[in-house]
Amino acid sequence: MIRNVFLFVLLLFLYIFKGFCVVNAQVVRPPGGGKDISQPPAQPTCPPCGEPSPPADSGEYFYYCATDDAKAACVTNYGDFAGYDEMACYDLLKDCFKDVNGECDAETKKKVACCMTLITGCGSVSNGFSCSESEANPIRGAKLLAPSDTNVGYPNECMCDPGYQCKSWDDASTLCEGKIDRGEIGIPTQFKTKKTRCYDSGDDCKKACGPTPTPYSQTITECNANFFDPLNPSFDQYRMVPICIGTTTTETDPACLSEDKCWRADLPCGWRCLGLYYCDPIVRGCRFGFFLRPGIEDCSNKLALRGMPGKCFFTEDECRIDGCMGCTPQCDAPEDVCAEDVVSDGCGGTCTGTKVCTPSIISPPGFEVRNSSSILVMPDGSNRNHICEQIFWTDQAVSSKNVNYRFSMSSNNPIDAVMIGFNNADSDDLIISEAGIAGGDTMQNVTGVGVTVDFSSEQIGAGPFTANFTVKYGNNFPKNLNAIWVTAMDTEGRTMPWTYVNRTFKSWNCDVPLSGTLYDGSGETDASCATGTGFSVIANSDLNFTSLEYYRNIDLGVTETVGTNITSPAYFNYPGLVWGSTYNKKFNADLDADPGEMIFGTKDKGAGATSYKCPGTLLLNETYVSAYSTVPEIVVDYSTIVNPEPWYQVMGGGLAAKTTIKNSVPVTCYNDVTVPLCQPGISIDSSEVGSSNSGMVAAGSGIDKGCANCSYGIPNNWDVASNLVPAIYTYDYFFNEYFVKAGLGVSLAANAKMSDLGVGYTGVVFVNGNFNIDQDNALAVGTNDYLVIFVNGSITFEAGVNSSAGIFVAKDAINMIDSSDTQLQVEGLLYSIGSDVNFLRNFVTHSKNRKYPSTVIKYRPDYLFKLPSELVRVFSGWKQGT
Amino acid sequence: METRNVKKGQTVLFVLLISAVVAVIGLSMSKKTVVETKINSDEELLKQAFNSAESGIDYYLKTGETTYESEDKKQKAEIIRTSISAGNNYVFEELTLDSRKGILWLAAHDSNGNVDEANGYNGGSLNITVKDGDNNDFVGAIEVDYYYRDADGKIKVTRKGYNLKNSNLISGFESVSDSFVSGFQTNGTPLLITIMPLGRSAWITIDSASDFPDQGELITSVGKAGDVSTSPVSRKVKLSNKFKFPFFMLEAVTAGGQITN
Repeated sequence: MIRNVFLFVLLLFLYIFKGFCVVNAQVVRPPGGGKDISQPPAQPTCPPCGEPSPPADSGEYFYYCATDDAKAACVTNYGDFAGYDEMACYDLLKDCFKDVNGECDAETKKKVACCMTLITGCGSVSNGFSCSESEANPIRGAKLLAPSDTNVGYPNECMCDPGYQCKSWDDASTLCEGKIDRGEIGIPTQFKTKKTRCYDSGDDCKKACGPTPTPYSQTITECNANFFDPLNPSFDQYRMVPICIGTTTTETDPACLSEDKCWRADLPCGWRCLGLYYCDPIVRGCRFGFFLRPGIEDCSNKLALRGMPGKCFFTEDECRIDGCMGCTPQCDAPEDVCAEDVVSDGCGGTCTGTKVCTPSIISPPGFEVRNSSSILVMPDGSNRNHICEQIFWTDQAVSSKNVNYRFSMSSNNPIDAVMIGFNNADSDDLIISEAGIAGGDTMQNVTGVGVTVDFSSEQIGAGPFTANFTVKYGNNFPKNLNAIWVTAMDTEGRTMPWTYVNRTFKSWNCDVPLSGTLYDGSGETDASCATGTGFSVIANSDLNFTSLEYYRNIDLGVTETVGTNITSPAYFNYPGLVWGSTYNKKFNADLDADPGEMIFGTKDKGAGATSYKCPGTLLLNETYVSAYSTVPEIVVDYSTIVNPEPWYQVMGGGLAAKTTIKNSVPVTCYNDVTVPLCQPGISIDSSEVGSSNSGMVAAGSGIDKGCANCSYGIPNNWDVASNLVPAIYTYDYFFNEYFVKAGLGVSLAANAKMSDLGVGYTGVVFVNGNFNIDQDNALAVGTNDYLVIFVNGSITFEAGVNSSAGIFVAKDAINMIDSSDTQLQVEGLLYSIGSDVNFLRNFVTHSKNRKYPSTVIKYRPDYLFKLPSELVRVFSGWKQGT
Repeated sequence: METRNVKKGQTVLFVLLISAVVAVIGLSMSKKTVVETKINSDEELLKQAFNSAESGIDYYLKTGETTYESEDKKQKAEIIRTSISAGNNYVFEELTLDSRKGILWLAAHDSNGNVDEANGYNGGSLNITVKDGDNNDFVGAIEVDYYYRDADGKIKVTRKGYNLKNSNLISGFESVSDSFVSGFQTNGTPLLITIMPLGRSAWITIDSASDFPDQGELITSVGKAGDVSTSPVSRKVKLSNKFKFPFFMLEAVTAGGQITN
């Protein structure tokens, strides 16, 4: 327990006096700028607790207060009996602080008080100075003892872990019997700075005191028996100074008394020894050893006993100058000396060890991030992770926000304290420290807000140490990127500098604000997300954009729908779609039901993107909106062709033009996703007359099909730049061959109309002028009905006609004109002998052009086989002879 | 006095000489006129015979009668009708021009020229061999349209395209390494197949295990004129009457100008 506190104090002193040493000096900067996170986390503010740095908690040291100079606070020294009466000596630094507190000025008192808070975890200290509860470490369960409490003799003092309360070196239960403060054995009463807490039973007290032995309770000290051994003059043996060894007492081993190496158990044996320097003739250098006080005499006697009369000195300098002239510096066994340690060479110089004693991260596995199910989470290409990644989710709806950080370390001694620091890009840092690990009683301290931490560790001896932090992020955790650093300290106080683990982590609320605009791409024949074409003209109110919802599946059978805020006429926004989700959209019914489909593109606004990306559906993943932006935000723009040009489509047959073919198959047809899907081709299959029967699209001087991605034909995407229309026929030819010679059909005057023929007319008709289709007609499949109309002028399909059937041959143009909200379907074929076929008919509701052709020509192969034979024979090969 | 008599003799001789020349010329002219009269008479009879043959064909096409006689009994024609047989290896009679469709009927026709599906091609696989105008392997593309009646009695069409000799002429056409298509499978009741060469004109042959129906008829009309009962002048006219569609009936939309919206 005491060790734990010391380690923790040491860790804090690292913040204050030494700072953080960046060994792995990688430069890590947040994507969005802000604070430089290439440095370790900011040091927590803590007032200095006196000087110098506290020494290790080893038995030969005592802390004392320089009572005549309270500001000097607590200093250390060897337990020198000479000064014992004048100085208050303590076995714990905190006790020393407590006692000098009353002598300090106000500022120092405050500093000491707060420092004590950090050291002990107590909420208050004596003498009226206190720290707030939030400043105290709550983990230790510190609280003030009320006067009524069992804190006998020392009311209102800080009570910490009961382990601190035991003041006996032996069985604490004995001392607590009867709840009587018996004072402290072996320590002058004026130094009663420890609290005594008694328990109803000895077992409780034992439990509270923790395991025995404690350093002073059951060990005795033997001054170095091997300070000089000519028969075994190894350097180590001289230097090894086992102060307290064994448990031998005079009661158990009377011989020890005769050998002058035993002491009463109630006195620290170390007080009987005095460290002195003497000149070792073998190594020709000054060496250090412990001798029985007053020391000089014992030292001299033992040197003489070994046949080496000489002097003994209090300091190494005295030894070197007065007693050991010609000293030969020697660095003995540097491989056994830690690299950061400096030892004497015996002649006033120093030696540096080579042994690696400082803890270091083992790689592999190195630093790991795992989810709450301990599944390893790999970083992205920039060594980043964030809390909204799917792997951290326990279900689709709510992120558990638990992240497990692990790292393994090697060290020469057991690891006693570890810290993990999150250097926040633009906010306060988060530091989680765990101290006292080796003692099995870990103290935790967390700076920063919005997290709670579970910690565990594992280490067997000085073997690999694994630290295991499970951080539970709260919603108020700062929403930005954190560079992760770690440090550790072993039981000897050897500290691994703050080390960047080459990983950053971001915890945020996963909300992605969305904004967007609806554009009108009517003026573009090739509106495309990839090129951004069609995203320049903002849609006007004609589009009637009133609603846009996004919905996603958050669990089996559970759908979450959110409605965007619409700002007329074409803007919308929503404060927080959930990162990692896939959303489908739903516009207001008339837009959704409207033929055609919108194209859309996204921009990662948080990352400052200016060009569109084109997902098939709205995916809020790293590809489309970076979670690592300072404020992840997405723009979703839609473009639709509100009023495309009218277009036409042929089913089951081909098209042939002497000059050009022009159509305007709209990109909305190409992008259509509503069933039945629009077929973006000039010629498509007609399932009514077979399969794979879309025909060749042929023109002598070029073909313009409309949108670039649309097809000439589906499935037969055929086109040829060739004139398939020979100029071999005229109206007169047909009239003479069929009407005059074959006697087929009837002849009508110019400007005749379909209504003149009457509904259900079948046969061959010749019209000596223009002809109008002014009413519907049909020719049923499976009958012998047919209709062939040869026109010595132009043919016009009027707007009121919805369906027509027959073979229509005109000397001049064939025109589909005007507007209707019904598609015109012609079952048969069209032939303009010497002019154009003009598909000018439009939908009254122009938006229907987005998905539907205004005119469809359905090729009817059955006509060929029920025409009169006179129409389907060709005479050729005239020959004459005798 | 003697001088005067000499001069009178010379004059008589001159007159006689002139008279002889005139006589010779006159006789010569008379013979030529007779010959030409004879030639003109033969040509007129031949024309009459030709016209009789033509009229005979028209008469046949209108009435189906194989004997024709003019009202004045001076012209007469005899009509002989023979079928254009295709066998099981039909060679298109003419070079099929580039971008034009050649036709092979798979349905038969009755004597009136109406489609007779019951007696047509039995179905199976077809082999289509294509040669260029020089009778070399055809390097180009062909579009093959197959018309048939399905089991439900509906007439349907399917279209296929081939880039022969891997010509890669038409995007989307199937690439074939040879200059022929083997194993073109028919289905349903075969009615018609059209083949359109693209890139160049072609000689096309279609063969199959079964016979194809007749593709039309050859009408031979022998017209007579003159003394039609004893020594007539005759003229023969042959007409190939094939069952064939005007090209525009094989497309959905055809324009001698442009097709536009």
